[in-house]
Amino acid sequence: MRWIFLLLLLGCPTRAARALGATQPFALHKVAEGIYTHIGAIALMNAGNEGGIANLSFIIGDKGIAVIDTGGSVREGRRFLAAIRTLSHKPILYVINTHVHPDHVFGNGAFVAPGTIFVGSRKLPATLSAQGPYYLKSFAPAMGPAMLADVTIVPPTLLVDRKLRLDLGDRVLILKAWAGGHSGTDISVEDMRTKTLVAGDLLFVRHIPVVDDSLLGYLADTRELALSDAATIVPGHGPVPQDWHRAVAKQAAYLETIKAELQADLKQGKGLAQSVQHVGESQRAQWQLFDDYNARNATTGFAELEWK
Amino acid sequence: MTLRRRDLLNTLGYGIGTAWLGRMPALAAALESDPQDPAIWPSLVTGIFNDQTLEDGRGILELEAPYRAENAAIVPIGMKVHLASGDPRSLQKLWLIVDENPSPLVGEFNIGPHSGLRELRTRIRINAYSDVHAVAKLSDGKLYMVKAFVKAAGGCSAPMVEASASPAQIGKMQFRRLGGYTDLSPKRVEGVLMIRHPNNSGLQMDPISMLYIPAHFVQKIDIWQGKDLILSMEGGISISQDPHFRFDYNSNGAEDVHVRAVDTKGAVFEQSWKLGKPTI
Repeated sequence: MRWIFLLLLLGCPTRAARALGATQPFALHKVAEGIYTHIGAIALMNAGNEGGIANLSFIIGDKGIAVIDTGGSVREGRRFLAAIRTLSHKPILYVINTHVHPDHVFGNGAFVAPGTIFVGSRKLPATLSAQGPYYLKSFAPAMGPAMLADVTIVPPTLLVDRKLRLDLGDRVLILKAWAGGHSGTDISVEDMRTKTLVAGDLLFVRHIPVVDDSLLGYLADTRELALSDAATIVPGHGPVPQDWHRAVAKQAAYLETIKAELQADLKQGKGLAQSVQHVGESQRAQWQLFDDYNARNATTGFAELEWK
Repeated sequence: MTLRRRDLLNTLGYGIGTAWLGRMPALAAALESDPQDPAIWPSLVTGIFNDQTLEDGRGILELEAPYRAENAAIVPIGMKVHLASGDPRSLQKLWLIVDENPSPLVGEFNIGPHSGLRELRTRIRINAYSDVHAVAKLSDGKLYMVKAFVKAAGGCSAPMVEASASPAQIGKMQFRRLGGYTDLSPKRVEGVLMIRHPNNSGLQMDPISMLYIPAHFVQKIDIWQGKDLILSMEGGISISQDPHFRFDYNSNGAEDVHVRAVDTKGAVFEQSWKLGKPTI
């Protein structure tokens, strides 16, 4: 695959760029013909990175554009929109949120416009309204009040129950709702023309996978993802892998490991506090942000598996 | 936050058994103070312990709490009493308190007089960076206190997981008896009790109606082996969804363990487990 690296300087250091907090250029990778992805930082959301940790993509069709995820703040969303506008002035027909997490939806406010339809899982409106206020509160210390002041919770109006077909004119997108495991609200977007699958957080690369909903569900989703016939898979975090089969297998191996170790601990009667101290430790070298998420993944998995 | 705390007081009125009612004014005063106000602990001592002297519990009571909670809605906490083998005192009661939670008193745990219980673990919600206090009453009549600081935020309003949200699941229980720990005396065993219950804190929002889900939680649990009480808990909204208790005790040879739990809607969940005679 041929990679083109585009550096989009937002008008260089203009006043407007500074006002947006644009301290770094907003880089876009061309993933396939008419498909671009901004690769987020492998980091936790904070004021310094404007919440810009998730991968953000867009697909240009001849009728208009579909945006996939909007970033971790309205500031990041605006910078993303400005970057899109350097490549195309077609209308933004759809804003698709791959799931409920703040790093993917907090930028929605930057994209609210007449004629733009927000799209998400059938479960997303309810989950967003339940968790949105909680996210705003719990991310305030790290993001700072200024960064979150203009963040609004924008729910989707077009919902994906199982599959949904979106027509951008010269290309068709198939949106698929997954059983859920990462977040319970996960959908993927596949461009049928280039067989590019934008997977959201169904796939993590380099960044340790995060289990927010269900360990077993996430494992099932990962196994199903392995059966995809996509040519390219764009993960929710980390670079687009050259060999996505390897990336999916690596994620499955991590989830399998913690599942097996948790089950062994439960069988031996170990408690939660004791178990999370060692589960997954053999996978440490494989992932970034291991200390930030591994014990949390183990906690979620433990509370789930002990009832099985 | 203040508004939520007031709402909670108004709607709940700490309707958690009459024993709590006398404490309401002091607790209310404490709850309306600034979340970071260091004065909250003294007012809790007044509200919960009626200003009784709290001895330094270090060396007697051990509080196991993570410095950073991985998941603020499921924070594992352990309390363990260390008494030398010749010490005539025994454990009578434990309290667990999270100073900064909307309802700071997580639970009161009465220890069965013949249970020999010395160690209790549970999982709690922690709503903000907070001191966690554990207090033990020994048979000498004195209260022994230790504390730990836990970094966690948002545990009380974290949305609930679907599994136990379905009414059909509520009240399902599991009891397991563990054993075989080499450092325990021959009759010493460990029990794990799990109850499916949303334990709604009253601070969680209904995704559909956008209204706060009324507080609905397990407020009392009694655990017996045969006719002997092992543990009796009175708890509040800070116990995690799917309440979970793990404790050690002296098996008295009874073949059954019996649990009775009551929630704030008055639902009673009761179950017995045949364990067979202790094999050790």
